[in-house]
Amino acid sequence: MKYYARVGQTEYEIEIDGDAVYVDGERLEVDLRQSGVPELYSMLFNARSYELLIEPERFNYRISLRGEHFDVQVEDERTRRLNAGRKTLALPEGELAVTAPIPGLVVKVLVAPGDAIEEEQPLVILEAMKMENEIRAVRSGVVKKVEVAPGQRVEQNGLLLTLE
Amino acid sequence: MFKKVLVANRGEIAVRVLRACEERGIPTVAVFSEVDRSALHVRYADEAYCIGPAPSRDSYLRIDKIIDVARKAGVDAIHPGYGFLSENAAFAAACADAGITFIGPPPDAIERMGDKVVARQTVARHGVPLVPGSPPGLRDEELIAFAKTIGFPVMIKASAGGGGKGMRAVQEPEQLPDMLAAARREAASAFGNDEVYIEKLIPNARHIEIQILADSHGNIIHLGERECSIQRRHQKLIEEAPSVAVEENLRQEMGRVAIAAAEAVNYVNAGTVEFLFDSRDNRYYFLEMNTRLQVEHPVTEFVTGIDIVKEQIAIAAGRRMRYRQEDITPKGWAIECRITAEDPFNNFLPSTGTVTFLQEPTGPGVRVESALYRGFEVTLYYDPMVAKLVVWGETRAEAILRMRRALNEYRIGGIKTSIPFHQSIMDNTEFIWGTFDTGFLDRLRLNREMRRAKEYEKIAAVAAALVAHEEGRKAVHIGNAQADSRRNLWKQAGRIRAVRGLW
Repeated sequence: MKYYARVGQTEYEIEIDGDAVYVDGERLEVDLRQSGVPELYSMLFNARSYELLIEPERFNYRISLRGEHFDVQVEDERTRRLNAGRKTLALPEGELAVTAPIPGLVVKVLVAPGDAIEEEQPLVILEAMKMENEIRAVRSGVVKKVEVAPGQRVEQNGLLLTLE
Repeated sequence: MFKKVLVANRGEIAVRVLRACEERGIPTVAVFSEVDRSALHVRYADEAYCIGPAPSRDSYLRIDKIIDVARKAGVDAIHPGYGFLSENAAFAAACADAGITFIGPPPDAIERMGDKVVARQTVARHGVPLVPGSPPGLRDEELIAFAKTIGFPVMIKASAGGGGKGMRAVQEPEQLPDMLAAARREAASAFGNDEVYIEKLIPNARHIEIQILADSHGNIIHLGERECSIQRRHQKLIEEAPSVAVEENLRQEMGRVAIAAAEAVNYVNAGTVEFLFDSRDNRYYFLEMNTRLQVEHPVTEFVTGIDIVKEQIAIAAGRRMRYRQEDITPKGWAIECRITAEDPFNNFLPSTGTVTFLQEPTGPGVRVESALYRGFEVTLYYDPMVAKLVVWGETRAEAILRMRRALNEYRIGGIKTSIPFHQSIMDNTEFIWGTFDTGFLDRLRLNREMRRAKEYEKIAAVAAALVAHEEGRKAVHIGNAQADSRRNLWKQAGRIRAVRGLW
């Protein structure tokens, strides 16, 4: 059975055939066992030993490995075919919704519609946990619309602004 | 000794204080906000009382409610921990008025050191060296004019400050008005007081602080220094004791100066005098005095063998200190990493949620101060620090290796934490050489440097695919067990996922 596992921008093609595991065509020696605790696994990966915390989440798995977290989205061949047919985009192509990664209070909006912005540029200051947090642009673009104003509370994933 | 102690705090520090009381044989009382009903500090205390809703101004900062509980529970002392009311002179005074001992310094010492500007003036009279800074109570225009006289870069600080809140480093004059506004907003939100002042920023300085202990019989000692230069937005993230930059004669000299600063305000109990240290010319400048127990106290405990919290309790009970200066000989090296619920791969944004799994490191030389448990809710109401990982080694190199090992063993599920950040620092050559200063993390350009190991990413991808594959196989198995053998097995797999909330 073939699977497509996406971590961030990278996709791995993983084929599982009995005990054999191929990653992007390369055969690997892999053994994954539950530790007795449902989420905790022991993995031997080419004889190197790792302990992994694997938690199923909506549409993906959250994996913790040596303190690092990875959100992995897994599709099998059939699901991929089905999903290809029903994919719709929430926004017109080229637009990007900037949402609040955490709930909080909008302290300041640093950009206005029409502003050209660079990747990593601070867009909105959100107060949470008693600190001001900068929400930065994940890519460059032009601010199309600002959806929030200072003093406004936003929920997690609430729309802050759109970029084009 | 006290008959019963109330701990006016939450989280790991409340647990730490409860443990010290228990070891001293003192019954304990916890207070908690509505969201903290199941917290460890509630469960570890002998008695516990709700003091209001989640926002700290409605609960942990309510002096009246805490004093009411103290009276009701019949306590004779209150330990404030750190943060919240720990440096609130009005609270210390309210305890005194209620006939309850405040386990901390006298209200007058808190007041004089709590206002950073007054503190500077007070210690300066006792020969403690200062960084050039503005007088108190200036308006924005006056602060801007003052900054021009001392030259840029400058540092804005909240008069009632602490924990990096209301602090801003300003490189250029044109940034100053906006930074002043931001610092005042943050100070008002954190301390209820928007007063700020300006200091000259000393580039490439290290943050070195001296822990002191003073009893009510006129004995005052220092427990050596802590190195706290690894800071992000002026919040300490990693602390160690001793400091690679401080040699024995300098340690004794800074210790004497710290004691002089404490004597300037007739200090009693545990406190810390913070200095900026310029390693280019070995000069140091008074920053401020923290009139409370500090987050990083365990590193000093590790190298001196002194239980600072138990000592605080004994001092507050009027006991004479058990130690003289000549008894204090730091041994080995200790490092602390603050574990926060923040995402180091995404600008340290706070990460809220439920802790779904927890496995804390143990083994030789490892100490975990934590408020975490499986099911613990990280909310936006409180500070993101959820635990402290502290290690000791005979040498600094051993301590770093031990910290690496302990970080590798730490498993926290459900929330993102600063653990990967600490791992990258333990591997950083500048950190390992000990040549860092307070500008270290800015130079690292965290977001760019914090790159995940590609090999780990691949391992995670394979593990996820194997788990998905296993789930599919289980679905097939269920399908076979059913009478209808022609049932679509992929639909079964889909159902399993749907039940689990995956679909």
